[in-house]
Amino acid sequence: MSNKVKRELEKIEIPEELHNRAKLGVMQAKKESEKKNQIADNQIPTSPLNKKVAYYKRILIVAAICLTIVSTLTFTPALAAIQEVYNKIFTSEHIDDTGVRMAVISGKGQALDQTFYDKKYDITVHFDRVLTDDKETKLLLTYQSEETNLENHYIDLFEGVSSINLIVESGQKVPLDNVGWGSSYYDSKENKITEALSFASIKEYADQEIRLEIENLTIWNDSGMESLQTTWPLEFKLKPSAVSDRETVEVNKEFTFKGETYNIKQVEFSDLETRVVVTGSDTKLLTDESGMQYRVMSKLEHQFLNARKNSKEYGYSVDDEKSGVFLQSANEKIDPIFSKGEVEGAEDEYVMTFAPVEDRQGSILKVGEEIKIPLTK
Amino acid sequence: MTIIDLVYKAQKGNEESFLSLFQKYEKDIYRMAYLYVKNKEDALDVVQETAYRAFKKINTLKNPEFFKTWLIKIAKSCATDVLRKKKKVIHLNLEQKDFIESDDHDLPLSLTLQDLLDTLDEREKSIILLKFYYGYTLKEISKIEELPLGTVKSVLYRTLAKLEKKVRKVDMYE
Repeated sequence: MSNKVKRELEKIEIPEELHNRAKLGVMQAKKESEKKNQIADNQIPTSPLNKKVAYYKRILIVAAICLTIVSTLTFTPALAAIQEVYNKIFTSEHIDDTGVRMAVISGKGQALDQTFYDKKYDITVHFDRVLTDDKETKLLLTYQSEETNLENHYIDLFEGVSSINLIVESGQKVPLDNVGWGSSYYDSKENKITEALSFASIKEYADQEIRLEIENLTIWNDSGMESLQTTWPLEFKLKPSAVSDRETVEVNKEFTFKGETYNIKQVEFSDLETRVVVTGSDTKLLTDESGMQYRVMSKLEHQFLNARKNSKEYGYSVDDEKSGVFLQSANEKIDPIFSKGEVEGAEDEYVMTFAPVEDRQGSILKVGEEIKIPLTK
Repeated sequence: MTIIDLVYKAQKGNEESFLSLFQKYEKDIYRMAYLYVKNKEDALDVVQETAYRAFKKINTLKNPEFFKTWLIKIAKSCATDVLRKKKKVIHLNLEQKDFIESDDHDLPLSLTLQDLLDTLDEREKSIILLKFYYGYTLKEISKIEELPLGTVKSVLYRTLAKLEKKVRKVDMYE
């Protein structure tokens, strides 16, 4: 009889971020006890639930200041944008990048909390957070409109007409290349888009005032691609909190999969991802008689993508029923970040990107069910 | 390492031991929370809050072998707090009547998750969970819930009757 209840309860899907939320709870408890030890005795502990309220209040104060300063900003969109932050959309599975979700949950990166109002199209853009390391930058933002229908609108840095530029001191625009596709989610009820943009590193500008400009939205519809011509500026000082390091470990280990030999060249650990760089007998570029070069999917890449599923609601995610390529660290399965599928390595290299790991020393690459290769021992 | 060893280590402030312990039960806690709050975001908040409170108070756990029961109680209290904030908690008046029947109860065959979510109030959900999901005896449930044994029994029978009725009603229209 208990099986009936169990069977029904097991229909409740377990979200990916479950263990991270437990970690966050412990982290908060730990921080509080450290603070308690360090500072005055009369401090009142704040639980995560109450912190939510405190955070909301703090944001409301910021909003009040913004409202005073930015005359073009109307009350409703500002509150809506604030509510969006409060809703923790960036930690939800609508963002198909585990690295982003984990970083936001752990409070990593630099909070921006800046709002820009695009008067021409009535779009309120809220810049939430920025994170950067040696190889990529994540800019988290939402945009919402009451007049422009934002369905099918994207800041598509990969194939679309959108771009993001860094404005240097001379006023020159330096375009920043995409890293993977980034993550985007359209909420039709709110007519709001949540975007985790992914582009080249800006780490070298740490401690400097910088200006970024997002140019043009790409509209993908049945008839093809259109554009919405606009510019959204963002000025801020890139604080050290936005910057994290990337640790590269040489591996040089070989394995054979489906008759092909692969060499794991290196593994790169960062707060946003773990990259495993591989070369193999079928990762080389092919050249035809005319000299044209082609990249053909290797057997390893087929295996990596085998566990990928796609949905409009949640983008790319892992199909747990299928065999694939995963990492294992601290007895946890570390999932691939499929939205970084197009990250290119050097010639002949194939790059697999996974979520960040905590136990770097104990990381193991698992290909299918049989092959397990320790990456750092 | 046994659960008791992990509890001792966690009591010394070792967060990794605590997290390994917590990980063993977090899915159960999430599902239990979901049954109460009925949505993913709030259920995740309950898990986070449970981890927060449990790690803060693990020193107060005198018998490490009761870690699981202790954690379930915390999770239940967190879920109730979330509901209270949203003003969704409704406790029905309980009959204080004792039942003499045996511990062998059954659930309707066509019970669904939706029945559990929609039909039962918080106390009923809790007792059904403890009895049929975690497998506690009625005596143990009475200790966890801090309710007289008779009350636990009466809530359980009433809940089973309620589910039975609900399932029959649905069957009639199918």
